[in-house]
Amino acid sequence: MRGWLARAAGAAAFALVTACGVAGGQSTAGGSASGTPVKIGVVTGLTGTYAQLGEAQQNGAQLAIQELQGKAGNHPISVLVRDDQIKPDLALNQAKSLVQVNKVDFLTGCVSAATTVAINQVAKQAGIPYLGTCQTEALNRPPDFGPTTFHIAPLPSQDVNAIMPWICQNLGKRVYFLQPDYAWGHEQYDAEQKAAPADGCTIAGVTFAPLGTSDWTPYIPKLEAANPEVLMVGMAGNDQVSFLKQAKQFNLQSRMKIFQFLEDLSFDEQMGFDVTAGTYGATNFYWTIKDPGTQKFVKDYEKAYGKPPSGYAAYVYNAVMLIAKQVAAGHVTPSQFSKALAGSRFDLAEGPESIRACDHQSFQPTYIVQGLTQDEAASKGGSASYGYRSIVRTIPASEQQAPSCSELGLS
Amino acid sequence: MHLIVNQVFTGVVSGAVLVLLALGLNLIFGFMEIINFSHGAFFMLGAYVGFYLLTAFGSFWWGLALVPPLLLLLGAAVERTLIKPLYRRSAVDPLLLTFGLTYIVTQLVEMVAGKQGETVNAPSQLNFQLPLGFTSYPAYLTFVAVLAALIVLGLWLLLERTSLGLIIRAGIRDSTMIQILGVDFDRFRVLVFALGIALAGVAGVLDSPVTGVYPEMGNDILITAFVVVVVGGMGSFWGAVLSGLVIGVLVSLTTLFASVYASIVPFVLMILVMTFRPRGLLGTT
Amino acid sequence: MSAIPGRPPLPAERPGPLQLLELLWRGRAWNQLALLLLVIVGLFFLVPDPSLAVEVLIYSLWAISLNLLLGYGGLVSFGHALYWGFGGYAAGLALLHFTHSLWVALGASMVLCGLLALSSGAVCLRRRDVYFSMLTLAFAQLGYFIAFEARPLTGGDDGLGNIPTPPLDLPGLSLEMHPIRDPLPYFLLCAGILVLAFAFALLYTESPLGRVLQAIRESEERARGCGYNTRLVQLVTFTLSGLLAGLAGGLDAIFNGLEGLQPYWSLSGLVVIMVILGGRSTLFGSVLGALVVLLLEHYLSIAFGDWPLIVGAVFVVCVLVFPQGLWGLVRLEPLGSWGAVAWTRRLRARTAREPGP
Repeated sequence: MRGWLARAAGAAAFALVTACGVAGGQSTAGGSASGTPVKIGVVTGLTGTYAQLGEAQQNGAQLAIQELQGKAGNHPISVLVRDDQIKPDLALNQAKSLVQVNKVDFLTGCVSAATTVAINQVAKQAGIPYLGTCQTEALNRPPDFGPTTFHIAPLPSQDVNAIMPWICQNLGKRVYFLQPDYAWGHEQYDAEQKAAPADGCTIAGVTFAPLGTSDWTPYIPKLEAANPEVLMVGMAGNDQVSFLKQAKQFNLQSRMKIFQFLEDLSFDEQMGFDVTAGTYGATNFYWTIKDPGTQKFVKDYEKAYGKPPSGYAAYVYNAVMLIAKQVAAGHVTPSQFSKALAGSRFDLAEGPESIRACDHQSFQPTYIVQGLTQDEAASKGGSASYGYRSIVRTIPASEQQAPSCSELGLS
Repeated sequence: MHLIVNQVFTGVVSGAVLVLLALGLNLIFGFMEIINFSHGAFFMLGAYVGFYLLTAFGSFWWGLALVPPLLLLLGAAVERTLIKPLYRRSAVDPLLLTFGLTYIVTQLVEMVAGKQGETVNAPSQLNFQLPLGFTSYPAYLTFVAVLAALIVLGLWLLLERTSLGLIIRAGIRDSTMIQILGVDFDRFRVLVFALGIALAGVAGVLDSPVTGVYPEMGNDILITAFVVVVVGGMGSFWGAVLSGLVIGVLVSLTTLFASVYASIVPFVLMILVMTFRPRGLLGTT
Repeated sequence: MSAIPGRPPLPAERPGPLQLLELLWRGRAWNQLALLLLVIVGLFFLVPDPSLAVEVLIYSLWAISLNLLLGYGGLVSFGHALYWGFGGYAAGLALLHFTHSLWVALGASMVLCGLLALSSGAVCLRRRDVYFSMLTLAFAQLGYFIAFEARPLTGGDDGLGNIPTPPLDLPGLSLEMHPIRDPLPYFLLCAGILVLAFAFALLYTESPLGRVLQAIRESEERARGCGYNTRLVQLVTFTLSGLLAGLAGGLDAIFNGLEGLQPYWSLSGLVVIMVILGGRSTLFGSVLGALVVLLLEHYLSIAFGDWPLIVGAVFVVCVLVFPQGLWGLVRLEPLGSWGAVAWTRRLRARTAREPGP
């Protein structure tokens, strides 16, 4: 690549190309630090079904840089955010261009299991660290796991194993699973298939629906007919929102307990109190968690963006903060960074977390949240306009929730 | 059995929206020999305009009432400025132009309204379960099916019982002949194009409480609407209606038995129809 | 490149292989090849992002393959992503499971996509115009669905990842390739393949078969009246086009180490835009289209999030004002004369063009 650029530098560039390239390259927050600048590339889905999560990640990254005032120790630090439209090939191209043109030192971001593998592949080939920030089973095991691969969001199976016992004890024994038809949905269901019987539940049925489904009416009669006690909604983003809205028209909420596998404040906002009231959901972050790190993050985020943050903002905020912390401590090269981060503990936006040494998988608590009505929001939810949920149960992180290192083939 | 009847009804409702889209495409194709690739974009635009009217006036009915005239005007403007210059060109050019137009409309909506999309509440008057004897069904969805049926009926009466309809039907059969007969063909082209766009807009408004509004909402449904037109027979009025309902019901039933195959059903049906009955279910030539 | 068997021989001026090469050397065709080399050199020196430069080459190849159908055959395929995508899977799966040879993998792409195009083309070409477009679309969506559901094989929505990069084996030389750290060998590989494929496509369009193809575009009835099996000529073109698209898809998958999956109709639309924008009347137009669309997309998407607006507007203006695409706008007659002279010459050439062979 050096050779290429040396040649390229000698030649005059297209006026357009240069102009745009320069304009695009300068999103660095200024700093007067003297060390080598550190650049973090954030590849996330700003368009598509999960646009709200991508926007949150962008906000989280920028908030972190703002708090750091563009400095990590004596290194100037900056982020470059790119949209992957949740398409793996586009994610790959964006990651590549960040590595080759912008010369980023770290990669992070992702809202879909489909893009995270692509971004990680570029990071692995380029030999730079990647911190995955979305749920997937791929990053912490071969063939995708690498010496500088980190996964700071939970495995779907971790969340499943954390919440299934609670669901079976508190909501009902017959569970119907409605899952998105791509890797993430299948990973959820693989774990659920094992966990449900072990926790005393029976599976009333399962349906896989394509990512981006907007008309759910053909799916609903079958759900009604199966008559489960609990409906597990495995979709996220717009799919979750449109499903719950339509379920409301069919009055499903009154006939079965609805559990969202992934609760996010941005989805709740789109659905509104009418739809979310009385539903349950799982999340690894909620803005009312009583933790000093979380509350600082929530306060700063509210100040910057006018509303409380969602979990996906916290992931990328954490990623940037973790990188900054290690860089400030002098762990700048990929191998130094990875050695220092593996096996470490930290308490940032999501409360206390640890990163397992063998597979670089993060362990964090899971929260079960219940939807409140508009009237309860201020008193029980902490805010009249954003108090959609109250935390009904905190399930601490545990090694048992995830496959062990030897099961993964890593020692 | 009960479940299947329910599922068929659901299919009819989603088919109804497809029928409205397909009829517009079909009119434009039959009369102007133009494949309007931007039909989905106008479907989406109609839904968004309806959403903004709902937000501004607080009532869904304003959107439903105002979107058709607004899109009628917009359709006429688009026809005059963009489609008219292509009258003498090959049939591919309008197809390509409207393809580019889709990008522009979708992107403009994204710039104004954001990428994320919004949810739309069904009108409060229809926010209940309608008892249908054997089952109950959301009143709004029933309303969609009934209104779509009325629109189809109205359109049919317009085509069959008015002198305007006579000219349109004649134009679909032989456009050269009616030009020779001295009909001001240009004026009717604007009208037919605008009418098709208005139909797409209504379909968008009707669909918005079901799916919400989002910038890409026109894309997938447009492809299915094309399939509906081809399967029904290009230029055939009742062909589009029949195939819209058939595809709606087939997709709905496939969802019941094997949901992952639902998305491919229209295309398989189209390949089969093209192979064994190339002129479409009710096509004439 | 020979006449269709069982048909009367072609008109007397039918060129043999040598004459074709001569034509390539002297005529219009040669200019195009020179321009292509110019673009490649330009990409090499002027585009600071090496991956983008490689992508331009690969997409050019894909656009050329579509232009054979769309520009020369008048057959608007809205499903060309099928061959691109399946070419990628063929190459990727071959490298993951069967071989370490680049050439075998690319060969697998071409063979698979050639066969796929042959069989789907046989069905699609039974219908004309819009019906043809719709059928190509239907097959593409069918292929997309298969790729999506065959998760164990293709990785489904996640894409087929971790495709190893094979070494570049040339006679007497084996070069390690690393698309991220050192994209140069891959650039040269793609440039070489593009030049070869471009020359092949030029020869094909100038060959008797290619002439008949263009005659069919102008009037299928007359071509049939002249005794040609029009269906067969179109099918041969469809197959070649699918084969080249497969090659492009294979190159892309190996370059990225990943074959992603996105709805084939939108991907097909992208390559149609490239061909139309660049100009469907010449093969070089497709290269131009790929270059402009990818550069616009890449740089606008960084500087201006709403870049599709500009691409859409450029496209609409192009269809309205320059039906011959960008190439029609800046067409360089014998490498240099611009503007009015070229314009009038082109107009004259167009009016003089004969509808049949």
